[in-house]
Amino acid sequence: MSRHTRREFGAGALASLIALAAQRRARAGLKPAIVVVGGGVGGATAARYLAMEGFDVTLVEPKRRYVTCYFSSLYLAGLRSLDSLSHGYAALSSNHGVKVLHNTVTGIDPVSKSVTLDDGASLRYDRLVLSPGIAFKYGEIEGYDEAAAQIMPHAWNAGPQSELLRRQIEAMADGSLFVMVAPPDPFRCPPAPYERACLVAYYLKQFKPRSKILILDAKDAFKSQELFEDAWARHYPGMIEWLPAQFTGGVKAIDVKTRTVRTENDSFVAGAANIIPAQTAGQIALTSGVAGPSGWCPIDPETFESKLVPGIHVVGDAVIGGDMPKSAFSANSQAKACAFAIAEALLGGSRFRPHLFNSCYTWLAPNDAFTNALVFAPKDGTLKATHSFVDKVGESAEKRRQTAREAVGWYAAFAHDVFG
Amino acid sequence: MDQGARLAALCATCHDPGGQQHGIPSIANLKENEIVEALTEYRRDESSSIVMHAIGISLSDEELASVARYLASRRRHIP
Repeated sequence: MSRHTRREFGAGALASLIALAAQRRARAGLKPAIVVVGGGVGGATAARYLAMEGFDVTLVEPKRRYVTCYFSSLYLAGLRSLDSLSHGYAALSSNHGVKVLHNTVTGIDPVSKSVTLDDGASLRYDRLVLSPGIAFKYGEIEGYDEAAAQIMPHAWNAGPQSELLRRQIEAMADGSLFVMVAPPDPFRCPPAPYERACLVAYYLKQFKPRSKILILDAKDAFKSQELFEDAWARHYPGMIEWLPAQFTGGVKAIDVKTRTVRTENDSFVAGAANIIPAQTAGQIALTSGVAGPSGWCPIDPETFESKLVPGIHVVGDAVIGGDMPKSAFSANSQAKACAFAIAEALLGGSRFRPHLFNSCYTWLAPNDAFTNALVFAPKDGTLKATHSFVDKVGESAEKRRQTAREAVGWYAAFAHDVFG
Repeated sequence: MDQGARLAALCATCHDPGGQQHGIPSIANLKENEIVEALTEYRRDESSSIVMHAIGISLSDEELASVARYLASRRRHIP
């Protein structure tokens, strides 16, 4: 037996003993304690479903309200208020008994199984669930750092960044250029840059009809490309130009003073710009050791327990989950599977196979949306798509209108499912 | 939570448990056989909803029966 295998066996045996101890506590009427870090879609869903399973759940999230990234391009287009995309944590407390602490986690000790907070408090856990979201790889494009993002926003976390981008779209001169820099894979919400181009075009078509949108992509192709290119031609003819990396050589530098984006061979002066940087798992994933060399978090596809640190589960965009994309729907689906797996491990009872899905509503215009649906299953230590369906080019206007209506209904139901 | 309740968590992702319509049909007041029939039809044919087709084909017969039984047991009133 190799040293490596012995160590893994040791960690597994320790985990079993801890699970047995938690089951004993549960039988004695003491609920096992779960700490969830991060109050986005993955974290809030995990907290809610863990509480429904009967755990003593503490959710740690510094912000009082969460603004959903999904649907935030509707705000940019003037089709939704930011307030309608903001959600608090009161229902998780009052309806489900989740303790919500508006603090920042400063340290995680997986040996003593405790989390320390910025106010000095310490929380013991039987299991820890991290929903770290994403962080940005500043420095990959010369001149684009956190300070530059306050001038040329990414708006890839919704909230003040979305407001900044909206103000810039409103302020840009008619006839000036809206430049979007689209990120390399993998990144949060694969169709979202191209959906945003549609919705910004919807705004520009009404108020700055001489303006155009230029997308400078780090990739040579993107998700559902034919659906977007069809929509760009139908709704916004001549307004949106997409340049793949193979044409431009990629974006090399940003100058915020002159609002200039420089590619290998060219430079573009923007009236307004949206720079979406390359991404990694959120900061807490990097500091706690659950992120691997890729910058993302490898997980057991059945339980979402970290492959790197036992006793810590990771859900949401931070996960590198095989075929599963980084989306709110995926995060919600993973969080439920994770909550049920923790219940089976610590409370006993029957084991059921996980059901993992993704479905995204994508807006092309206010009355034109499409959707997809994917089924995933654990296979060979990762998550494989077993079925994949997507709406097609050429569907009737009525079907697309109906999908747009469904999208609004989905948002309302989903917000309830996540935040209680 | 039992198997039916956990499977119903799939439904709650899109269907408002309060039964509000909002563009997605309510499933709050369906009878067990209505749910079984609807899911079986969605499983067979993707044309009316690719999302429901994906859900239908991912459920085993036993799981389909289990979630239908659970949802029907949560009906608010019998019309």
